[in-house]
Amino acid sequence: MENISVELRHVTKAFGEVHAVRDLTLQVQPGSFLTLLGPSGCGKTTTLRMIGGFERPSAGEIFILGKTIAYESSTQRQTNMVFQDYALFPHKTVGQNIGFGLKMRGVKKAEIGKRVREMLDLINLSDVYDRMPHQLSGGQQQRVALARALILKPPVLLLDEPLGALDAKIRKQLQLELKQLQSELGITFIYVTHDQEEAMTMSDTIGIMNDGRLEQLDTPEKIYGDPQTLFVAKFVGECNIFEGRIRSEHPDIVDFEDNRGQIFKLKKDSLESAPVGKQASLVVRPEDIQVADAARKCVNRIQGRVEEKLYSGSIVRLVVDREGEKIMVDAHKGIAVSPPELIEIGWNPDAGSIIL
Amino acid sequence: MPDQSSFKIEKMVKFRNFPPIRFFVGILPISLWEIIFFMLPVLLIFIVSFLIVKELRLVFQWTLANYTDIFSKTPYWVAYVRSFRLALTAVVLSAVLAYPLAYAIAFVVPARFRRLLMVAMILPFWTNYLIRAYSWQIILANNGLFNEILKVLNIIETPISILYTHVATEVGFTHFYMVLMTMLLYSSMDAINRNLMEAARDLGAGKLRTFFEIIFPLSLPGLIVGSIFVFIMSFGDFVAPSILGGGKKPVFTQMVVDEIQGTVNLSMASALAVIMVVTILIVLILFLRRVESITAGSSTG
Ligand SMILES: Nc1ncnc2c1ncn2[C@@H]1O[C@H](COP(=O)(O)OP(=O)(O)O)[C@@H](O)[C@H]1O
Ligand SMILES: [Mg+2]
Repeated sequence: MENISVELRHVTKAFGEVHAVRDLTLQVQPGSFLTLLGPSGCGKTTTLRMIGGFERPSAGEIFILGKTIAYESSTQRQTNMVFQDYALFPHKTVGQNIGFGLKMRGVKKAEIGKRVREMLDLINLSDVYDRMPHQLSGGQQQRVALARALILKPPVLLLDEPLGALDAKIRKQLQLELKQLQSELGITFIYVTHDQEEAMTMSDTIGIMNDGRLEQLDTPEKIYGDPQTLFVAKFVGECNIFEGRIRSEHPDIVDFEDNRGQIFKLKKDSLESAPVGKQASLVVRPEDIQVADAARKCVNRIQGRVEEKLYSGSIVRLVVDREGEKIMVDAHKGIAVSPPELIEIGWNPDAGSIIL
Repeated sequence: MPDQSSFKIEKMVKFRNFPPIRFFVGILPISLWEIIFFMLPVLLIFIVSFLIVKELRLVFQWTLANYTDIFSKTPYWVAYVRSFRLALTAVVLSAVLAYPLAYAIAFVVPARFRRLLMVAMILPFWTNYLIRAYSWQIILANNGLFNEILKVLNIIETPISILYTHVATEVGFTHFYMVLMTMLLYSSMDAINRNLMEAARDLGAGKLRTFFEIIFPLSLPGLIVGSIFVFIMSFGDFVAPSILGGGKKPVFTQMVVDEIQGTVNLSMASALAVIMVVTILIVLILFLRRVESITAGSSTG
């Protein structure tokens, strides 16, 4: 128990008729960075607010460092929250904002001042001590909000889309800073976002949520490379989906037959069991598909006509038409194919993944 | 000349910010109204206050006599202090009563009942002010509702005289202006971002500390503006002191009326009026500046 930072057991939250969170179970390791990722309205904020003690679950239990949440006592909290709109106190200076938590704990004035300055140094904002929040830029406000929560050294920090209101450039920079800060301080971060790129770059673990349910809890690599549900596959990155069924099972290869009767071979390691004959979907990422010469050496091959060729930076996106079925392929920008050429595309058994 | 071109541009920008002529034509009726019915009379009163009245006629003879009279004669001073104290008491009473009410509407009452409560509160104000004042007479008179109830309950035997004392004036003031105070307080409380309260709680503040650290300071603009309004309106009120307070202990406004109706001393009445206006202006300036300094930061968050 002690080596689990946060644990949710079958947690459900209903607001009247609306089920914001349904039967959610998860564990967070101490010092790790967990991101709850999902479309807006899927219950991320509600989950975070329950962990933070702002809402009580309708059913289920939440443990923080092995103990249930102390809802009544405001100073015995194990978590601190960084709010989406920062929620800085507009009538207090930056110093007073950051020192607020210490003041509530009865820490002496001189000590508060010292620790606030340390905190400001940590977030690279040494010269704003006496400013009012509205005199700061969005990025600075965000850092102050972070400092205000971190000064209490909570074992668990909760962050609700903390970078959502910032422009892309500052967001990228703060993503890095946040991640660095987290690993330096060794605090458990539970981070909420709807931005899959942000989740991918920052997290140790990602929990994908959909309609109040946790769809998959995994490392970013696994989430992307081995999605367990169609929702996860579609939400994280782009993918081609082939509908079909499992045809047969070999020692470490599975044969998948799509609805057109073509067989694709797949490595079995991602599948716990491969019930033969069961309806399934095969997911293949556009960048895992080879084109032209490279495709000829692949195990799984498809004929198709290039329909579109779209440039985006160092890659080109080809849309290949396989008798009505569109397949997206990412190739190097130097590729020498163009519409309406007939080409061969392909991939090897280690590329795709099957969703039952 | 340092930078000629930038100077030119600045001038042009300023010129462009200047509203077009038709703007002034558009607000002309209002401006005229303001000038004719507000600015001119005030100016007139100001001028008249430096003249004197002899044998019921205004004499064009510049003098400070009215003011030296006011500052040297006790009845004026007593009335002024009385008005000031009554107005301040009205401010304190309406703040003390309105604050919990506004707090309850903003933070306790479920959202769907809020509008109903507001309407219930404003409803009495569709009745004429005079009529409301007379209604209080019925309640507060020696044989009025209040005393009768106390008698029935055997709490008193002889009626308490409330009507025609300034207790009644104060009841009137508080009733009339508390709603305004409540509205202003409510609107500044309602504007408080609820996340601030959650953040305070998250950082270890209990309910009481959240109130004193967050809610109270952020509701101060409403409290100050409300206090200014209540002060000005009760300080300048003539109806409640006359109808409810009687005339035995006149307030400042009653002195003004007396000067006009009794001694027909227009210039003295004007001087008294000028002192009232100046008092109100000082209160306004002192407190509005305070509000500005508070609200400077409240726009964010
Ligand atoms: N206090 C509340 N009262 C009623 N419904 C709510 C409340 N909070 C959230 N919900 C509903 O719960 C669902 C999940 O909301 P939320 O957790 O805020 O989603 P997310 O943060 O993922 O966008 C939404 O349908 C939302 O309307
Ligand atoms: Mg949210």
